[in-house]
Amino acid sequence: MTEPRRSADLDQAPHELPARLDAVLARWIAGGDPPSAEALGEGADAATDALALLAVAGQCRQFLLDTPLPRDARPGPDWPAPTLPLLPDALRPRFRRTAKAMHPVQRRALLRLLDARGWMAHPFDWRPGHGDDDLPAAYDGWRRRAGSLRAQETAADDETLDAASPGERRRQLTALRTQDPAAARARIAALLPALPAEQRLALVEQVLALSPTAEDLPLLDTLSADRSERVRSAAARLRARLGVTQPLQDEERADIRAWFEVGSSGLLKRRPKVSLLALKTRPQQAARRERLQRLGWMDLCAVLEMDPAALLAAWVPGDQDDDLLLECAAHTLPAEALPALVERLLFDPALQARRYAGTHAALSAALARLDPAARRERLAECFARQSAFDGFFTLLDLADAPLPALDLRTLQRSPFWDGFGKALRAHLEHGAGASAFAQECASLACLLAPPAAQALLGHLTEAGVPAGDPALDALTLAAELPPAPAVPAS
Amino acid sequence: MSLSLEVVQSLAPDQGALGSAGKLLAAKHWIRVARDAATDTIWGECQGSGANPYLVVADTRDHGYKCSCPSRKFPCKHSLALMWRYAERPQEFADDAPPQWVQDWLGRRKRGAKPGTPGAAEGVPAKDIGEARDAAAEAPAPSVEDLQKKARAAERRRAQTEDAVRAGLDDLAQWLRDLLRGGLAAFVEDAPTHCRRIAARLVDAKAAALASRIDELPSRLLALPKAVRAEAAAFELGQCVLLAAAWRQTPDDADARAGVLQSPSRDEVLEAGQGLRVASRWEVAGTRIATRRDGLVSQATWLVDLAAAPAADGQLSASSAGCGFALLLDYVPATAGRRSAAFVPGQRFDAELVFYPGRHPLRAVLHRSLDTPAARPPPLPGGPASQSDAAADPLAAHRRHLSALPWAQLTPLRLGPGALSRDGRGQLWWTIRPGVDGHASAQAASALRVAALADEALWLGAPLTGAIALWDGFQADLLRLDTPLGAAWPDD
Repeated sequence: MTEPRRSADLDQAPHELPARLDAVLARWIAGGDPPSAEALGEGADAATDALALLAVAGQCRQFLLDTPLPRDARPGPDWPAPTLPLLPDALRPRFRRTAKAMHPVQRRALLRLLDARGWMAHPFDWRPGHGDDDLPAAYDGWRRRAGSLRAQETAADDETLDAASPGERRRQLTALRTQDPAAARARIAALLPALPAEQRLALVEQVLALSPTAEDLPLLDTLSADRSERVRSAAARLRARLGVTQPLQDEERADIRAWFEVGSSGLLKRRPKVSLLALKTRPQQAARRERLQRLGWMDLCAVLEMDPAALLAAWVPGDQDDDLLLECAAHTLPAEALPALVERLLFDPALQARRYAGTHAALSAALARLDPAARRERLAECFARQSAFDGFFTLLDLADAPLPALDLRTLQRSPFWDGFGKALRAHLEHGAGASAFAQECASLACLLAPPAAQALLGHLTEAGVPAGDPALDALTLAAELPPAPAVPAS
Repeated sequence: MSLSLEVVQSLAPDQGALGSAGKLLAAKHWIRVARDAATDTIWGECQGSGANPYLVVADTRDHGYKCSCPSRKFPCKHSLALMWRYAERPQEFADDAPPQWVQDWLGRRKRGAKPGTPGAAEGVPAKDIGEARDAAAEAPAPSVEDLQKKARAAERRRAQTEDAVRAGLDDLAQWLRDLLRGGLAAFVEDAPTHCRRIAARLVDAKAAALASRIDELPSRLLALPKAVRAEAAAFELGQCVLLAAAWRQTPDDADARAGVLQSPSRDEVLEAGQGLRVASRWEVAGTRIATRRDGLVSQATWLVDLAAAPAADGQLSASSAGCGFALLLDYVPATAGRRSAAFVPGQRFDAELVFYPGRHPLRAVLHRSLDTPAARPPPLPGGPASQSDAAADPLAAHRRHLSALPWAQLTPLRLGPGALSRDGRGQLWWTIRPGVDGHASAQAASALRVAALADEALWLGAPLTGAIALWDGFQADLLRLDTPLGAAWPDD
């Protein structure tokens, strides 16, 4: 408990008064015979009523004592300086409402929209948590601050890490990984030799797997000699994600070759055809999945004796493990073959029909390897052709910025327009509130340039959506948000 | 964009509602009325019985309406009065863009396809708007004899009330003595039970305000850290002793009467004409809504007088007659559901407030809005919180408040540049920033214990340029924080 101390006013009061007030209070807290007024000092009227003493003592404490700051009190880390102009005050209430109602994917897209126009969200309205990645660089400072606060709370020093339970240790290291990856890596490296296999595996799969970079490779290399097969496999999978694969032995080559059926199709013009064979038992399937996760696309090409683009063109989806092939291609396909992969992922009806769980992740990884202009160009094509997407929401986290070429006319001709119209009619019929229309409007707002957002807004209000409808908040924000004033170079 | 009286008549739930609406037609009941032709909307702020005005909006096309009052009649008298006034005197409605609360309502609602047809529905008692207008106009003046009779009855009731209160206060004194004998530690452990019993006795004794204060004491104690609850109980029970003594000595004293019996009503405050009147530009420092044990919801709106500039010693300049703050306080039944707030934090408006009479005027009612800002000194730059009290003693205002009113519960404080930190137990503290006002370190300055904040992580280490807080003697409730990135209202 922080002890009250004498205030400046107390200089005029008897020196012992604070101690006497404390003693009187202690007696009231404990109960029993009430203290007499003489307890406060000589000269006090002994006949003072107990209740009067209670009243006077309480007032005395308020006037004469104040409280110092406890010695263990610590302020938080400093606020980072804004690297972009903060959103204008007039637009902040709408941004706050919009961001609050949005799905995290939409919120990230909205922040990218702000970033593309040169603004950043006011930290009072929104700021990143320590685990929020995939955000514009303007938020790095706040993300580091959140990580630093979390690290303060979890205090991930060597001593506490040694004493922590496995789960707690993992949480502390996860927090540290987002805040200071190098420090987290060093601590993991120091901890690993003393941990049992299960805990080593968890650290590799749950901590090191968070945004691995080339700087993790030395540690992953040492783990390739780990005494546990599962740890070795997990490390190899991460190395494969970073584009480093181990040379295959002859026996492995033969195994991999046996998993594929290589043939040709077409009556007049024969085309090569490659597909995964169905396996009979679960252990076989598990072994293949585990091996595919460590494979690079070039390894496959070498085994099947095809060049990268030809293998991609010849691959026919049909097996549940195809999503691993997609992941492999997205991460390790040579850059010149990437456009063909993106084309297949976006527009191949056979692939769309299979609805693989990994398609979206593979598309995200493949698009991330394209340059921004090419990426936006491919996504803009989705508005002209039937694609893997059935709404604007699914497009959102793939677009790293609004699509400048997208205008109302293109939008109205796009395969999405019918669905959007249905959602609009349902919204008008059933009233305001959370609806598919509101969701799609919010997503669309993050994809449009200001003129297109204004045109769509006009179209929707003409169709009967009230201008104040919360469903239009994001769209109104996108339409009203001006380009930020240029920041003078410091 | 028009409305007919037939529509208003047909919308009214009963003749009583029409009659009540008829009494609200005069302009003095409305702080503001306006309309927007683009959305066919009319709206206004009606000054009801509370301190905060009711927000009323209506759609002239489909006759939809909404009012922030807790009435269970739909439409309520305020909605009916707004429409009635528009039907009769549309020229009094200024053309304006809908404010945010009207836009929110427009966005949330689904517009009706067609307005209802005026006419009496089956099973609904007949209503007559002309009769309601006549009834409102014909308020008969009471005779001298009636007035004398009423005065005698009031005097009799008053004597009976004072006798009852004295008996109740005797019981309170005995309860306090027993409580001290049992120890405050034991009291704090089971404060709700202890307090409920004596509060019920005080209600019977007609000491409603004191009863309510004691009934709410447990929740105030629970909001404090465990380490200071017993001391806080001692302080507040001591304040009750002082309040009871003050009332016994001068039952007519406005402060003592408000603390023991009840505060005067809004009309009494306005009619008495004794209260301090301050016409100024006000800013909403924050709002606090709490559900009480007696089933009421208290809605407190704290205002800062932007023209009140404290001098270096923390005393307000001669230009400000009040303490620089005002409290608009309303109570509504919890069963009436959630009420939208009349003001939002940070909102500024020019208005004349009338303060409840007392030594340290703080609670007020909104009397009228001012079309032109009051002739007062311009506000200081940097927001109201930058006009801090004497930086050396952040509690100077609290001590002044206690000097004037020893049983005061909450004191609004203007804090200067400071910083928040957290101790090992998770308790938040506010201190003057080192380097400000000659303090070499935070430890050298007085620290204020701070109540838990929403989004605490943001504020730890924030470079605060000022703050407005409510101080209860032990803990500060931060209403507004000023930072280089702007003002924030952390708990609103």
